[in-house]
Amino acid sequence: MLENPLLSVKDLSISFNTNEGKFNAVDGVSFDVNKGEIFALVGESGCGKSTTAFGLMRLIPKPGEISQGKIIFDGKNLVKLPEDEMPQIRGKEIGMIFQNPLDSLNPVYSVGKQIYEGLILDNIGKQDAWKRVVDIFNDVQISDPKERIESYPHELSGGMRQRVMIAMMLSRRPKLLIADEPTTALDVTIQAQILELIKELRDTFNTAVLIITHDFGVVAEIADKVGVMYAGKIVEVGDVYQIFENPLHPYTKLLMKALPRITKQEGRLETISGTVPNLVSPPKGCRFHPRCPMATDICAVEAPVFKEAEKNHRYCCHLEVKKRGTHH
Amino acid sequence: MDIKSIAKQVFNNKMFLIGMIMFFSILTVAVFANQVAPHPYDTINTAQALKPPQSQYLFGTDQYGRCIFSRVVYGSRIALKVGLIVVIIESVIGVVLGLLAGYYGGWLDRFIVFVTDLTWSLPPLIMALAIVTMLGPSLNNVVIAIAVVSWAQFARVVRAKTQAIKNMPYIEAARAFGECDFSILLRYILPNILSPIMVLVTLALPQAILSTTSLGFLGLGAQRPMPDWGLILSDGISYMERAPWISVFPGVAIVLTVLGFNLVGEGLRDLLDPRLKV
Repeated sequence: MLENPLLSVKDLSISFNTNEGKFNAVDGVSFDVNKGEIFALVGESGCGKSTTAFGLMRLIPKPGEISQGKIIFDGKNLVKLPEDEMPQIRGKEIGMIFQNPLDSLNPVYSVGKQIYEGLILDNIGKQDAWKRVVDIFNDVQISDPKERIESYPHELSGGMRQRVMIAMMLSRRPKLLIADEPTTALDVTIQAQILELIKELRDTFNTAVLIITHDFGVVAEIADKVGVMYAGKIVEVGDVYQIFENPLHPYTKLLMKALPRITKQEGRLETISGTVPNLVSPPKGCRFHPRCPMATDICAVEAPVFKEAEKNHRYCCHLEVKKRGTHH
Repeated sequence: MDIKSIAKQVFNNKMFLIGMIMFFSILTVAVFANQVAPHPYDTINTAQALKPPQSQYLFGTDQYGRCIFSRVVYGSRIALKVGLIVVIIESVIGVVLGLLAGYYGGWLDRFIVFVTDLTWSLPPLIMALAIVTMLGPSLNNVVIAIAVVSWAQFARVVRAKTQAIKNMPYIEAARAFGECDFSILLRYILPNILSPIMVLVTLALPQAILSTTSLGFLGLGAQRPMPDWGLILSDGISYMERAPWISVFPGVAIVLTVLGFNLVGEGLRDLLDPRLKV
């Protein structure tokens, strides 16, 4: 890649100091997101993917804190940025949409007013701001935008509210949009529409998107690149085709098998036995070894390092790469 | 919610309606005291002393021949004015402290909670008494004294509500949108806790009026010949057997005012509580 990536996370750790002890919810995570690219961070609940997202915004709830690493965004290291400069990044440079669109809008203002107030932060004239609100409502495909801007959040459906949320976060034209499980609370048809919308907006505005999800179906639909997370670490990164055609880490393979498919209806859906480990005392060696069907003796002793299987496709496991296509 | 359904709810809540009627009557009397009162409140006419209620003196006269009706009418101005100023001061103190404590938490929260609990644990009237005695008896000092001892309930309620609201996803969304703390407090949290504050204000107003008249009764508030209801009442005590009307009418005025405000407050609480809506 000749161009510098828009977002480059390097060796990021986020630790929580709790009564039970200190643990790293995110442990040495690195990944890059380029301009106009959709990067999906996938993993089970509690694997640290949302914490990573909040870490990028420097909005980690207490007692969490970034304990090491760099977040290089557009040439600036966000970890080192003073707190009073973060509001200029949030919303303006990096937008974020949330899992729960039902409660993500302030119930006392009309939806247009909320977006309008955000635009005013950028010193835009009143009439221009209102025009922008209507335009952005058009962009996110809300019908009758002129009437809808008068609506209050409780008058809108969940999908509509998520559209408003996206409109709000796009209104200030951020370079990166973080979407934390944007479709989890929505039903399947609306889910598809919202994903389609995010993709279209990426095409129109060339916004980079970091999408957080537990659903490989969402990944398949939208992502260009994928990072698979397990217990605070990224275990495999690659282009979406590489990951789907040739998953290398056993965890990725198992996650794929747990995905319902229409084509192969063979018995029950597979699940991964066991649960995500307690991160206060993570398993020695590879963190996945207690649940890994291919674990060998070395896995319990030595933590694996990243290996490059092909260009842009790296995985973190002691297993050696098999030739492409042979694993079917 | 449209105006029709609001009106319907208001009319279904009879107590609120009665309270509102009382509230507006008192307000009208206070505003148009010059027109309503047949006599000035301080004209002494010893020839007419201690007259029982009659057509010329609706509520009778006191030992100086002053018209009690006129004095009670003008007294409503003092009661409302003092009550309003007290409530404004105490609600501003309480809301600001409650917002800060609830939003920021940590040592600031512990400190504010400590001060609030301290204020809460002192008997308000006796504290107010002590403050007025220290500053000297006057209406202004009464305002200060009552406001200083009664902001605690605002701080408590606002703190609790702020803690509940600040964990709502839309606060997180606001922060992710680049809103600063000040803007979040002012535009996101405050508007969302306005209805409990409104209820508190309407319930604090009669309390403030009661405290004012109590201090007036003890001679620590408005000074003679100001027609403070508490003062008139206390002046009438020595004539209780010969001329009970001197004390009874300002007493009734106090009761009706406090009752009216309480009814409005309780009605407002019911109207603003979404759980009670059918």
